Amino acid sequence: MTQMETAENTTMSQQTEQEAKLAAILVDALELEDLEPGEIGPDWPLFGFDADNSLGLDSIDALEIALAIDQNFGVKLKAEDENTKAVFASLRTLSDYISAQR
Amino acid sequence: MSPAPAVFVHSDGRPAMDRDALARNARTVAAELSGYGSGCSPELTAEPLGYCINLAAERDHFTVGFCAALLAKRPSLLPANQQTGTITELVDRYANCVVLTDTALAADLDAELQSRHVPLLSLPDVPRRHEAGAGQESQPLAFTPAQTAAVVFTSGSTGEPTPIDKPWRTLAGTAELLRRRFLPADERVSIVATVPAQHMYGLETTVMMALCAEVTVHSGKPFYPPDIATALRSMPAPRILVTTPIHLQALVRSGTELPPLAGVISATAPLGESLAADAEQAWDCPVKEIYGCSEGGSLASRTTTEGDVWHTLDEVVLSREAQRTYVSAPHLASRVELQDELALLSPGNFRLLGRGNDMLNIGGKRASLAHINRVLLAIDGVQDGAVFPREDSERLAALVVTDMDTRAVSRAMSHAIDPVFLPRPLCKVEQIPRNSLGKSTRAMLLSTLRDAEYSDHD
Repeated sequence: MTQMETAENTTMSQQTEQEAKLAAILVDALELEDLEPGEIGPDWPLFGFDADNSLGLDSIDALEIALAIDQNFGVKLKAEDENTKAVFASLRTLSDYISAQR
Repeated sequence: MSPAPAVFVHSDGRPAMDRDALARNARTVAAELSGYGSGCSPELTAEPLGYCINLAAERDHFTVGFCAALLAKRPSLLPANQQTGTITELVDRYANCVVLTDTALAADLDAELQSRHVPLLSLPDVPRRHEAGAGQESQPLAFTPAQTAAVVFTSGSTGEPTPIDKPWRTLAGTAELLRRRFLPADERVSIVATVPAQHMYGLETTVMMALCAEVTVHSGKPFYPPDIATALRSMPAPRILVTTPIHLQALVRSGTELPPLAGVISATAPLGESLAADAEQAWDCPVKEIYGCSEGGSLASRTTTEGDVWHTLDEVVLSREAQRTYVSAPHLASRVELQDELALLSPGNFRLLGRGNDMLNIGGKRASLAHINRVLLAIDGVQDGAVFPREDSERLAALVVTDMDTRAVSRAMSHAIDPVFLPRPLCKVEQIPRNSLGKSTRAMLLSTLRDAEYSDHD
């Protein structure tokens, strides 16, 4: 339960409104049953397992999340716009990208 | 004189590559490859002089490397994924490997290769060093039919990857049969594919098509729906999209507008009839599926909305003997036993009753369940465990007996397994349920998983 503790100690209520909406999409797409959307820190890495709080996102999840972002925000993700891994780095980078595209 | 037709076109502004440039680049890379060999001339031997592991992301780079490897008598090894552990295992198993790439390698893979003194060749760099030859006409490439072009890996119940050699004539033969089945005889077709060149299906439908048929292939591997649309728009009509059910579903659901298509080809996993119907309606073109296997390559096709009967490619013959199904064809070196359960209806027609092997395919990535289980059990600190398909999706779940943090288990597995096959949830339990024979059925595993998840939520 290290994720929960990290969440309570450092990142609770730091999400912006848009980040909170995105966090809900992520938890839904990733089926992160042990994690509430509000617990995800805006700077937690989304891909991989390198950090203790990485969420373990993979490319098929990214496809799913891209569809949800299109439906919810009207923003279409493209790989050639930018390095998509950079866009998917964290809740914050994803949110910034959406804000910039809207 | 009109310019030679492009074999590969790019989205990144690089000039298109015609057949001459392809042959010239391949010879240049082959000359560099020969420098890493035993000094034996590739022309004088039938034996492999070593192997190539071709990690190139762009299809034109991959194809140049693939042809160069053929010229240098170095079969291309096609591992199921490019994770560091997988590549390291290959270079340890096959003597005299050269790694071909067109992007920066992951730092940990780079370090592993350097420590083993495995040569690394950057495919975009080699032709640049030899620009003197540009513009000259080049002899067409020709390869020895019997020489091994590629080695693909499948796995049996032990999870140990088993190599399958693919002679050049087998791959070229499959390409010819696919051309006859899917491409018009009198028009140059454009192909855009969302599957990698390193996957058997991708190799046959893009790289081998580029080499054996009059087609123009997009060198990229577009992923998101808008990327696929952009790639298709950059190609002249008639256009064919080669893809998988996952990409197709994303495309249909996103409602992305595509330029006119002549056809869609899907493979790697069963395509739902309603999704196929939606795609046909959205783009006003037929959606076809390819059936194949690692041992035999592409073998049959069907138009999904016309029903569940598959039609073998020309020259492919199925037979039943002692309750086993075999496939033979002139381009196959020998008769191949199919792992799948087939009902033969009439010559050339069959129904697929069930997949007999444990290969998993998600979005053009492949892995074997037995191999994934082996990777899990090989982790220091994992006492017992079982990976199995989930109830509600094509993804995997796992039960693990360990004192480790579940994240550490996932991280350890990610060295040898593509992230899309990492089990989720990965659930810690006291013990793995087994019957009196010591076996775990999927039903038992799913039930234990449900109980474990339920108690977690208490």
